[in-house]
Amino acid sequence: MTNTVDSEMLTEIVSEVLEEAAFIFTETADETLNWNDDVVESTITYEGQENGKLSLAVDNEMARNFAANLLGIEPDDPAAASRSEEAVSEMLNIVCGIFVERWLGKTNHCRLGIPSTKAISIDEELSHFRSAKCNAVLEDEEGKRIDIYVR
Amino acid sequence: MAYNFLVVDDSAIIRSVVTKCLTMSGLDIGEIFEASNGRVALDVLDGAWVDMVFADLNMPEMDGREMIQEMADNKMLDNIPVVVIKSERNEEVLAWLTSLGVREYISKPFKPEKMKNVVERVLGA
Repeated sequence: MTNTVDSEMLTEIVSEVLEEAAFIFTETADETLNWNDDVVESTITYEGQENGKLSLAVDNEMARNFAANLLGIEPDDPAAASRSEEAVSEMLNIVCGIFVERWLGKTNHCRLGIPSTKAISIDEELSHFRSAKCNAVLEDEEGKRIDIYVR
Repeated sequence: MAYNFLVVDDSAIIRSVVTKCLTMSGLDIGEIFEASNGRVALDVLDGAWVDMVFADLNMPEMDGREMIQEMADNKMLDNIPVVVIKSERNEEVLAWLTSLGVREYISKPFKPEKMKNVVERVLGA
C-alpha cells in the first residue's frame, strides 16, 4: 500500500507531532510568510523501498521551544539553547517515522538514518525548500514559520 | 519493589524525556541508568542490575540491533526485557527483533502513562 505524498500529508504529520510532543499548535501557512530569525535545518535520509531525504526547518526561537517543551523547562533556560539543534533532530526523527509509514504503509521496508542538524542562511533554506519534490509551510500561534520538505 | 531501568539512546534529549516520563509515571523506580549507544549500554549491564532496557535502534558506534543481538547471545543478559523506542516502522526489522526477544515497541512521542502501561505489561509491575 502506498499513498500520495503531498503538502497536506506533510502538514498533517508535522502538526500532529508538534502538538503531541511539544504542545505547539500549528496551522497551514503561505510560502510568503517571512523568517524572523536565523534558521536551523535538520535532514534525515530514508533508504530501502524508497530513497530520499526529509528536512525540517525552524527558526532559533522555535528550536529552543522544541527543547524546552521536550525537557519540561523554560525556553530561556540555558539548556534549551544548548539542546535546541538536538531537539529539532528528534522532532524530525519522529516526523520521518510517521511519514514513511503513512506513505508506504505499515509493512514498509525503509530504514531511517541519523538526523543531521545545522544552522543555515535563509537564502539557502529557501533554495532547498523551493527545489524540493514536495513541501509545506506551517506557522505556530505566534506566526513563526516551520518548513517541511522532501528531497 | 523498585525497578532499575537502562535508557539507551544517542540523543541526550530523548534520554531525558524517557527518564522524566518514567519518574512521572508513578512506578516504583530504583535507578535509571543512561547509555548513549549499544556499546556503553553493554558496559552498564556488565556492572549493574537492570530490570528493563529501553533502547533506540539508530545509534552511532553500536546501534540497537547489534546491542539486542549481543544481549540475546549472552546468557547473563538474554532474560532482561528490552523495549525498543522506535521511530521507524520497518516490519522486517521489527519481526527480526521480536525473534531476538524484544518484548514491546514504543513509538515516539510518548507520555508517562504510555511508559507506565508498557512497564506494567512487560514486568507485571
